[in-house]
Amino acid sequence: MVAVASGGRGEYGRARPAGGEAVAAAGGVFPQEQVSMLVIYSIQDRQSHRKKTRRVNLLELLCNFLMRSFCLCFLAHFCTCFLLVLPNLTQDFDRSVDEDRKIAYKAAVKIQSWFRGCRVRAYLRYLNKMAISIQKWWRGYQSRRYFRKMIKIQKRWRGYYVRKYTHNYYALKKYLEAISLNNEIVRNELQEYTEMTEKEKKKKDLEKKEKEKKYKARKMHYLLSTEQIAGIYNSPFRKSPDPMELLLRQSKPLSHRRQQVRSPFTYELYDWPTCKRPPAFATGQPLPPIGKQKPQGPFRDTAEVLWQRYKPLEPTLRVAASINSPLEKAREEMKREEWRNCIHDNEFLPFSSYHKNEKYDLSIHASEKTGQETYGIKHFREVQPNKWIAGKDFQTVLPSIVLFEKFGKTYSKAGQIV
Amino acid sequence: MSQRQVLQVFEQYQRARTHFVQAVAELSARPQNIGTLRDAGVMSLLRPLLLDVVPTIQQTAALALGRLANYNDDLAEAVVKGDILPQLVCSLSEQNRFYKKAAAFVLRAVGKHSPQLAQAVVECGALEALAVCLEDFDPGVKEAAAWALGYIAQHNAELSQAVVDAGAVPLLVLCIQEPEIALKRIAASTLSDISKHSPELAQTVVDAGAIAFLAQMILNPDAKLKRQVLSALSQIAKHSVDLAELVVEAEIFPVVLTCLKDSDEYVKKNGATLIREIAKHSPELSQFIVNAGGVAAVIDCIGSCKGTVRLPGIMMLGYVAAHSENLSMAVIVSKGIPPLCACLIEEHEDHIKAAAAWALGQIGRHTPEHARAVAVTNVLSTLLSMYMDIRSSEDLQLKASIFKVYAAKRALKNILQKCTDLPALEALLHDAPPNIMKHIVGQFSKVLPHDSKARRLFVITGGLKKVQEIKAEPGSLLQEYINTINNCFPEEIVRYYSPGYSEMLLERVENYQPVL
Repeated sequence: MVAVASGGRGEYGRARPAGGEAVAAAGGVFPQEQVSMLVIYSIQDRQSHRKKTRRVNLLELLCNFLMRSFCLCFLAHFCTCFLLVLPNLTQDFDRSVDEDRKIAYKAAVKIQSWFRGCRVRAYLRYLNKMAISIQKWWRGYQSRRYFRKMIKIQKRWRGYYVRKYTHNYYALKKYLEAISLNNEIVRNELQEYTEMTEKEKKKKDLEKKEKEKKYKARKMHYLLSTEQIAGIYNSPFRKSPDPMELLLRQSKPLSHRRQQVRSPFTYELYDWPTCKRPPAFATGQPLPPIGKQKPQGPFRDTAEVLWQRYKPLEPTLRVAASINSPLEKAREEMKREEWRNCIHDNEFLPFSSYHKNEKYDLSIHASEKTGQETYGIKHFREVQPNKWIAGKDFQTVLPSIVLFEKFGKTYSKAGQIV
Repeated sequence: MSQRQVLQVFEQYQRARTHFVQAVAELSARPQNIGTLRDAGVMSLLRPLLLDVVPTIQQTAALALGRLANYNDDLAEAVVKGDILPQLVCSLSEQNRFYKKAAAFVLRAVGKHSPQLAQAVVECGALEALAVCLEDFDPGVKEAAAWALGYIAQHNAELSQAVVDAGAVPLLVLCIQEPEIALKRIAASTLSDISKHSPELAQTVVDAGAIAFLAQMILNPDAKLKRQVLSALSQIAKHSVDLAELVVEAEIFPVVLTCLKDSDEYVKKNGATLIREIAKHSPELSQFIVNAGGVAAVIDCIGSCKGTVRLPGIMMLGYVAAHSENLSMAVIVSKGIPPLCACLIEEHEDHIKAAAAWALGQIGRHTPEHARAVAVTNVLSTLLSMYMDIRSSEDLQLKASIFKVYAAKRALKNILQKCTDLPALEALLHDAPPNIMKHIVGQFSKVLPHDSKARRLFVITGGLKKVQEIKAEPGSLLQEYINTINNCFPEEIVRYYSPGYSEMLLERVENYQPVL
């Protein structure tokens, strides 16, 4: 019986989890108030769990509760039944009812004592948890109080930093002023640029008109007035001759055979900003005619040939400008000047004793033998007679080849035939 | 004798053919003849002449075909169906330069009408032959080939990819460096058509080193060339931040700003487009443009133009202002708002008005300072009238009108949510519809509790009366705002202005028992 009870207790001891409590109602063994108080403790316990936001596995609790209650129930029932049945099984008629009662009483006491122990332990656990939570809160409050002191400094630092660097109001203001200034400058420059282009365009148009007028005047030179007959532009009723008349007087009559050599690039490159005038070819003034008769044969027009031959070099902008920018040129100039103006190349050394170990270099006059240097006057080459094989000079053995003499002279230069 | 007679017959035939083909070529240059020519069956007659022995007849026949195909797409389809293209493509590699020019002209004329026809041209293997033509010595041939490639590539991304795969891009970049202006123009426009479809294609063009040459050509005085160059650069820059940064690194600023002052309208438009495509990607790029004085130049450009030419400039200002409040303040400081208001009032096109409204909204939405700068110009009432334009409700079928109304509404909302400028708000109070009224009253409810002078003004100008007349559902946001406003004033004056107060007073008079 005792073994059974202890075995039962051992079994029950293993199955016991932390927290919660079992309610056993085995055969109405326990009084109702104790049961209700137990329930209250268990509920409170669970509620306090929830309040402290610990993860409560309610399901687990319930299972445990059921299991334990079931175990306890079963055990209690089993024990008492067993104990009650036992005398019948052993068929021991010597056992009196009084002994049965004693055994049952002891079993009940044991169960009850166990149960009370569980309850008290639960209560102690609950108290423990309350104490922990109060301490937790207090420690947190203490450290937050300390933290609040630190925050004050950080607050002021962050405000200062943001105002000074991130959202600097004065810098923004200056920036906006700078932008408006820059805009003014840009607007002025663009205005100038437009005016300049307009002027250039006007100039171009004017020049074109002038050119046309002049060409017309040259073409209609026969309208010039003579002594006898006044031309149409020189009416006797006018106070002064028409400007056209003046133009006619100035212009040379157009010859019939006019070589129109118009380069295809004149108009396109004319107003290229970097080259303001068209490339001037050598045929600006036509060369004097070589002879009225053109040479017979499939020759090109002489004027064309000469134009092609004497076409001046038109370097691209890249070639015409030097490789080095003006900055580099200025720098080189400075370096050259410095090098020029330097008296000697020895740097100034910190202590005067640095120079003391130097050997003295003799000057040219002292190091060479006296008299005039023969090199440059008497002889120009270094001659080492001891290395000569023979005492004679080179002789030409083979005659020279005629064709090779013409090397570099084959094509004509300005009409000279080789 | 008989030999001469025989030869005479052949000569007559040749002369007849030459005459015919030249006459057809001349007639097809005039649009009114083309219908008659087509009905007379000119296609089937020209086709065998392409294979003629005499080169001049071939060339003239090709030229005539090109002119016919150029006119409309039916004829172009007839050219395709007649299997003429493979013959042309074969002879592109063999014949002399006049024939090459004419053949390239035919290919261009066929390829320009629709993607299907261009696809047909590509399938004949024309792209490789045209790419070979791009390496020819004669600039006319190069120009014709580049033009044909450009018209093929303009339709969609697959065709552009086909052109790129034929290895045309490096050759086009070489063409750009040639001295002939016409060739430069065509090459620039082809590069623009290629790079407009997708970022990969634009990257291909950039990898061929096009940007440096295009940037140099901005300085060229020829207006049409500048148009194409600016268009090409903007098509490259529009796809991504990296491409835009590459374009900026080619040092186009501040030279591009001179284009905004050009006498040609389309140069201005394309210049503004380029700046817009660069500005829209990131705040850093917008910052760079502002620092270079770009905003001032664009504002002047807007002020001096009329019509669709203004649109990219307006959008550029909107994009710059949208990035951050500092940039928006920079736009305000550069006197950007008056031209935008002028645009809003003067322009008749809906999409320009919508763009101007959007830009103003972007400027004014950041802080109360910005909103005040916008509100001071009295543009809010214009926006409101645009929103409530009855006329636009009739043609709401048009996307542009819907967009205009929507843009005006958004802009108004954005500005009103930050506006603390009470006189401007009061002007709106009288006409606004309920959903705008909510914002206006909300702003009043934020400002009035703190400013006594403002409260006085509010009463004097009749704002309080108007607020009392507003009917709002109890519990709505509007009602809360109205309550807040009413709580700022003493009860008597609120009751005085509440509607029906006079009747209530008279009723009281009626019910009053005189004290004797």
